Amino acid sequence: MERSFPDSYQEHAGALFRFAWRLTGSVEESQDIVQECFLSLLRAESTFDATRGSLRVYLFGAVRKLVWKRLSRRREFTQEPADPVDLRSPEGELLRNEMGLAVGRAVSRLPESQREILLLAHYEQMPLAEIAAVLDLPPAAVKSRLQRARASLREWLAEYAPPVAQEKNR
Amino acid sequence: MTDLELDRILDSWVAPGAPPMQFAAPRRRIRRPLVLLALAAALVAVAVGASLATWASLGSETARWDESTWVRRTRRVEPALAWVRWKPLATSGQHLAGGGLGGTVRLLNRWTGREYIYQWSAERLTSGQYRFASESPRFSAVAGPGDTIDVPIFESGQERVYERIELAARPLGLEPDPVVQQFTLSSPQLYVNGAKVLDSDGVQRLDAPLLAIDIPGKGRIQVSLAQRANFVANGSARANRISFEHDGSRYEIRCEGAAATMDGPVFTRFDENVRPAGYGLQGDGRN
Repeated sequence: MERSFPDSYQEHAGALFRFAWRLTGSVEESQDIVQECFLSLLRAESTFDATRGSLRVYLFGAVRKLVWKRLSRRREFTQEPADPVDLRSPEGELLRNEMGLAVGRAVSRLPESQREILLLAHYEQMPLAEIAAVLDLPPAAVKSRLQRARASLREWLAEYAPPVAQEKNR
Repeated sequence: MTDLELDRILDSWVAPGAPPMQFAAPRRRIRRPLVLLALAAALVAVAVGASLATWASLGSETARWDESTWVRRTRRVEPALAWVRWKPLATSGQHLAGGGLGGTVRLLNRWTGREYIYQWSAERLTSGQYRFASESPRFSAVAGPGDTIDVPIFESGQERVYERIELAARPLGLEPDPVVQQFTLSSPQLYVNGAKVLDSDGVQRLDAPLLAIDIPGKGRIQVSLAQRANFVANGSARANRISFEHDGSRYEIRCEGAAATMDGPVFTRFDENVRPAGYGLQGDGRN
């Protein structure tokens, strides 16, 4: 039985959209990126090769490139910790919940190289080996960056930890 | 802070729903090992010009044109695969001041960068049917409840984009979309400040990513589960209820069963350009 393009879209679009949204903070832009990503599959110059890797790895890699291309075009991307989620934007209203707001801010403070690994590992539950394939990095580097990202977040979000845990950490 | 505690804190950052998109392809489950080969085969099939026997939707909305005519308009792309070339820019539809109805559909062909604008009008005939017409593309048809008409928007080779207009003597729902979060209302009732103002009025089931609530003499409130331009977060969908506040009044939709595909915040936008005569509740597929 053939797996149709619509089936592939339905399987991956939600996760790709979430990933793009957490990096750009924009619903519209993320929607555009996901569509452009699938469009890229059909172009003659498409580099997807099913014998070399999974479609999921290809799609996340493509979304990642499109996100950074756009952020770079908007001159919002720097090597310094950036704040790609505009909390004053309408999209920012999603983060009304105080803890959600704080998490969004904290994640956006992470360096780009750690941020995307955290998003893929935590929010998309992607195995480290697959993240390594998406980012074209050794698995060990992915693991250490993820540990650094989580350590930073643990520190920045400490006030949201249950009181007992705060006591334990002292 | 333990790993589990950190995970729970991170989980509080919730992303909005995925983009509205639906395909008319049959839902299938296939075994993982077949996925790559099958996808490759599908892409190869496209490359040699084979068509898929399915269509994709570029947006759909429902409306009540008069006391006995309900309408569902859906922009369709064939084959479904060609959906990636198209982006819906805007759709509108409204009762016009001088009688009749009219609206506009704007689509962008991402492949060529060309924008397609289609303007339509519908005039009610004494027979109870409607004369539906558009200037560009030039099209005209007479239809009533039970009829379906297809208005061509674009055609090239095997690729076809058109608007399907279905008229019925009963309320029509939107096709459920498993990708996007949507409202799933069964026998919905509308309450304002605790008082019931609208019964389910024959609506058994309404599945839509966007709701339109008509407030007599005031305007229309659009309600969404996802953030959209000019929408503000001011309510929630919980279990069998959707509630929010607007202009000092508390609105609540109560229904049988879950009100949405998942609990979460709701976002609203007020449109004062619409002047409804009575309370109304309908699905709206505008993106």
